[in-house]
Amino acid sequence: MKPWHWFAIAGAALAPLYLGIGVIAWKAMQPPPAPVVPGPVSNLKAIVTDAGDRAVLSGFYADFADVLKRDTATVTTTGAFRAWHIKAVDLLNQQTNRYGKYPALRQAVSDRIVAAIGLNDGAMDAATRAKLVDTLAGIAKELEG
Amino acid sequence: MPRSIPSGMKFWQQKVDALPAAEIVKMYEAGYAGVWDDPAEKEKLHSLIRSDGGVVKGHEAAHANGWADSGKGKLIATWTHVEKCFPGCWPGAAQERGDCVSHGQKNANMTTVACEIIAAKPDEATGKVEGIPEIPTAGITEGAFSSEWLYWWRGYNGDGWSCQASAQVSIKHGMMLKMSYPELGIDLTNYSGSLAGKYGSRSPPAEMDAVGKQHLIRTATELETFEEVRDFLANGYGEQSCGSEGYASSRDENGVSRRRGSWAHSMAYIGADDRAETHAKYGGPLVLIMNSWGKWNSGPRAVLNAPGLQIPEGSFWTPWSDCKNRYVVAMSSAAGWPRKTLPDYLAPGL
Repeated sequence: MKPWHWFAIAGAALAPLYLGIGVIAWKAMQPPPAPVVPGPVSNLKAIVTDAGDRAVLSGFYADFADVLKRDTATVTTTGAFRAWHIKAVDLLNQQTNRYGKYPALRQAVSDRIVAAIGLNDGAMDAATRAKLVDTLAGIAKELEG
Repeated sequence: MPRSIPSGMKFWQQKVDALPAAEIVKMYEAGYAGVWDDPAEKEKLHSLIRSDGGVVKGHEAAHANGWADSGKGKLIATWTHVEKCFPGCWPGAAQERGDCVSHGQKNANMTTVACEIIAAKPDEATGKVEGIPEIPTAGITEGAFSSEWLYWWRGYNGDGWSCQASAQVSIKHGMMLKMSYPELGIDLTNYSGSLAGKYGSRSPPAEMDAVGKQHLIRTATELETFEEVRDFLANGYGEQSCGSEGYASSRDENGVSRRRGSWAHSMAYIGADDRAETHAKYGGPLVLIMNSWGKWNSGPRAVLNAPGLQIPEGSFWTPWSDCKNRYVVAMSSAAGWPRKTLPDYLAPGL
């Protein structure tokens, strides 16, 4: 368990020893619990149970990887990629029953990308682009099975 | 202020705040001076550089920092860093008055900022890694950084200025972006000649200066040789130039334009080409020049033997021999903007 998890639990245990305003003040000072960040999900195929949906999403990420690999002037920052990714998925899945159907996949894809390129909003240099292309291609391959 | 414009040139005269780009070009071709050499401002710039512990002459800075000749024999594509950070920023808004010095200065400063973002090293003064500032798309299309902010400090209401003075303004008053500053009651998103002329003999208010000063260019250095121009660009320093050379509006198959006519004009240097094949074809190295007249020129935007690489609209390569007499000043590291972090890569549609 992480050190400051211990602090939160110990602090909560001590809270009843303080009375009135002291308790309220102490509780107000208590930091919120840290979010538990899961590691990247290793089996995307198990998340997307519908074979038809898997085929569509696999094809989408394969095409996205290809487009990104060839692009030189449009997706020039990681922030721009994030915006394009959101829009492209929206366009793909809008007016279908796939829209918002796979929250676990949504998180898994985000985790994979973060693991590959981090969360810095910066320029898309060659190394970042290559890692992103590989990540998207990897997602496509896994969904294809 | 003592001004020295080239023989045969005239001080800029314009009855309205805004002229169309084609008229602006005609003004330059007719001999109206957007720039002049100002010996007094040059001395002030030298004093300012020295007072901040900087070096006036570029070759001294290059040798002192160990990167003299680092660009030798190479294609220096500095402009691509700017395009990565601020896609669509060039050619930017075409100038509507004789404020070319502020546009050239803005482009030089923006080049330095972009290179620092790409380098992703901690800023030497703040220790922080800098990122891309948030600028609305409309502002990026207009040039991303404000030329008006710089022009407002020229000290008089007329048009025309000096590179020496604009470099000082960048060091003393910093940079502002092409966006709205509601807390200051000003919107710099869209360029206009009247906005550029809002201040001049009257300086901008102190509260605006306080914002601009958060993003100072730290020092500047004068460059005299192609090697210095090349090496400073190679190491991520944007360059401002002032001179009286005019250039053809058509580019050859490699984006090159030769001398034609005379313009008392300021333009930024955003790339250099010192490759052997370039020397063989053009008799020497090339410099990439970014003009401030919008899409004023035509012809291929290719780069010799670099398939897929293009120069920005409004720019052109020219041989060093066609621009070697221009005054050039490189802008050093900038106090940039904090690096931003994305929240996640969640796509709600999944």
